[in-house]
Amino acid sequence: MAGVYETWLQSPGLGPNWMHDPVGNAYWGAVGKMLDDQLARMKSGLRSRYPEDAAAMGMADALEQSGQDRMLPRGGTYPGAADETLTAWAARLQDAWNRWEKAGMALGLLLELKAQGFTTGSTGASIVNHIGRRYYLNSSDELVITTPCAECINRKDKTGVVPSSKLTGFTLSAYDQFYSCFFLLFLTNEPYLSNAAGSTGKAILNQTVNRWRQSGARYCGAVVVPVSAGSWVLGWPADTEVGAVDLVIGDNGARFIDTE
Amino acid sequence: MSYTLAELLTPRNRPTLEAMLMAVLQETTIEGMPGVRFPVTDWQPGGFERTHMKMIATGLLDREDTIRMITAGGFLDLASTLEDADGNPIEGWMELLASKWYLLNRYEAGYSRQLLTLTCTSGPGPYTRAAGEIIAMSPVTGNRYTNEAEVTIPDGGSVTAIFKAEGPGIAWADSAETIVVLVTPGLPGVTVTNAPSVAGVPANYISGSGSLAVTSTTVTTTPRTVKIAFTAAGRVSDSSARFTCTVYQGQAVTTTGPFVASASFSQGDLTIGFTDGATGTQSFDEGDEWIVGVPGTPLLQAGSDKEQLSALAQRCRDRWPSLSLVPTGNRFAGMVRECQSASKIGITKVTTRASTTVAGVENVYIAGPTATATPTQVAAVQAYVDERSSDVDMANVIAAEDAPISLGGTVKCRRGTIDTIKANANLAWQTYIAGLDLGGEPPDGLVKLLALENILNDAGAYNATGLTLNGSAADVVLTGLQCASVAAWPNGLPSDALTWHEVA
Repeated sequence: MAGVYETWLQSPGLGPNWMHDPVGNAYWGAVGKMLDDQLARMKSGLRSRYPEDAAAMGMADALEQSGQDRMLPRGGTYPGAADETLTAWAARLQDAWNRWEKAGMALGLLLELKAQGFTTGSTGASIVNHIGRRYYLNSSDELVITTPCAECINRKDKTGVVPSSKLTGFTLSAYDQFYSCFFLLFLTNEPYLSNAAGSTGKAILNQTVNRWRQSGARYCGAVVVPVSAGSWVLGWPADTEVGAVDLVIGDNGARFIDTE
Repeated sequence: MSYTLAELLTPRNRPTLEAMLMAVLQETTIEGMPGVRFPVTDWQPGGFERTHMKMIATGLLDREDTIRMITAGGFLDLASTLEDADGNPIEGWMELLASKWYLLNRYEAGYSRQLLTLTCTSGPGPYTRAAGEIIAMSPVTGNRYTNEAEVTIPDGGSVTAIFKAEGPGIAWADSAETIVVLVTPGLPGVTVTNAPSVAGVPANYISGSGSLAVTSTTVTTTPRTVKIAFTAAGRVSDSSARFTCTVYQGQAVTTTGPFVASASFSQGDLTIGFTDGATGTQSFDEGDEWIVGVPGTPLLQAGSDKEQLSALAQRCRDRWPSLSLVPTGNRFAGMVRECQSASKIGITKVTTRASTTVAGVENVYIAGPTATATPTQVAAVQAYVDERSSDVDMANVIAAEDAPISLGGTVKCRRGTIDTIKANANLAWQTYIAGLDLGGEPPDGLVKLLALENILNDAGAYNATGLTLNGSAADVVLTGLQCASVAAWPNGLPSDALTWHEVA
């Protein structure tokens, strides 16, 4: 189909009749094709900045730039996860206003972890904080908050005293009354999370957490506890008592992923 | 037809356009004349039709560059690095993007403003001159300043007035007592200088009703910044207000106290007076901080260059974390960058970490281009961040750990080129250090020995041997919070630290 310039330059109303004999039309048509090509490029260049249009044109590299601008890289970077489709990525970029509004909140961090390809849901990525609250996403990406933790024998209150009525939660640092720590808990095996040098999964996890965590909230690391494989660690599952089950602490794939 | 971004960002040149035009013409069949193509048999350079194609292709060339700019103009990193064919920056696209998409305007270059004291001997005065009629100059830099408002110089006395630099920019940073030449004729008996004062105007950010003033009269010989931080609210009259005193001097930071706020407090040769506000009001609030710089600089406002486009792009990006009501570490980093762009305080590197010792506090590590932050810079950034923090969040601004990089090695140059090569190498090395983030080059946190070698070669050295960083022929590895800095003279700059030889 002829473009606007090709059509216009060949229109009989433009210029004298000799311009529009068969040879003349062929000539002007060729020039018009070049102008139309440039027009198409200009339009594509303009549209490339709008994520939805960039996705529609298949311009992954334009979305890459938008992702850098909005600090929302393409999802699915976690090893083993499929690349986020261009359409889904574009929708997330368009939703940057709402996404970033949730930065610093448990919901914002969990949604970003999901976008990057980490497992979510009740056995996937959970945020567990010092006071024993656990946050995870349900299948509708809504935040579920539970308080599953038992009493902690050495957790101090803000005055530095272990109260007679024990506090629930965890002691996540040497400062037993530290109240702004959290860790990530995976109750399923995340095979690409390890402390091996150059671990891409760990790097993506730590980068995502650092970008989306609340200021002042100290990230203590991630604990992977594949419970279906009979794995457990001291403190999780929360109702497990030492000596009550015939398992070895840290066995069956349980591991801690550090922050560095 | 779909394109990649790379295709749209790469203008096609004239021969390409010319070839495309010819290809279309050569392949086009004439309508109504099956099998007949465009009736030209001579497509050779210089021929009529080829020249015609060349002419049209030349006309289309400008549009190719327009395509590139339209495309790049929609993305921060691309718009901020747009250049014309001669390598000159094209700044309008980034400014447009920042203004229309991010509601941020680029900071213009600022004018330096200085306090100048004009003194007249007894007899020839007084003189009254309208704004702009008195011109003073530094013989060191040649920088000239004019009075902002009408000035009357009393006979046998002196007056201090605000003078504005003739031009904007960072180069107008004349130090105290260097603007001493009166360029304006017709003022016999008048001398001029930009003398330091006893202290800068005390600044605070959480106001009670009380006030603080420097009452000593002698200009100190020990430049320092003094921070008075109230640890207990109250008044001077009932001795209820208490404060600590922190002194920032060089890289040393010393805190003393708490002290009871009384009418007068001495810190070395500096005396500070506290004055209560109205009866029945709280003069000083807990957490209230006052900052005093001594001696007071005559420089009221430092000149500044136009904001770098890369800094503007980063400020645009910083808008996203600022959308959240819950602050993130990025948001504090963004505040620091905003402070730098607005006030040009010399902080170009920032990173944040949650405190490991104080719950709920984010540590903000800062540094300048080639050295870690000075105590004065730390105090200024802390004040800026505090003023913008919510009721419950807090950032603790810290100078990044300094990691001086000393150089060693031998460089050979062609005769007559050594001074130029030294100057080029110094500039390039400083630029390299300035371009390193806190923690060095990612991902391994390196300061690279190869970078020094490349810099010397690019500067024009004949060869460079035995190069070392910090005494070792290997890269320097930094931790995540260390700031690579140019080591103190004579070890840090290539011109002084390396051994130079001229060869024929």
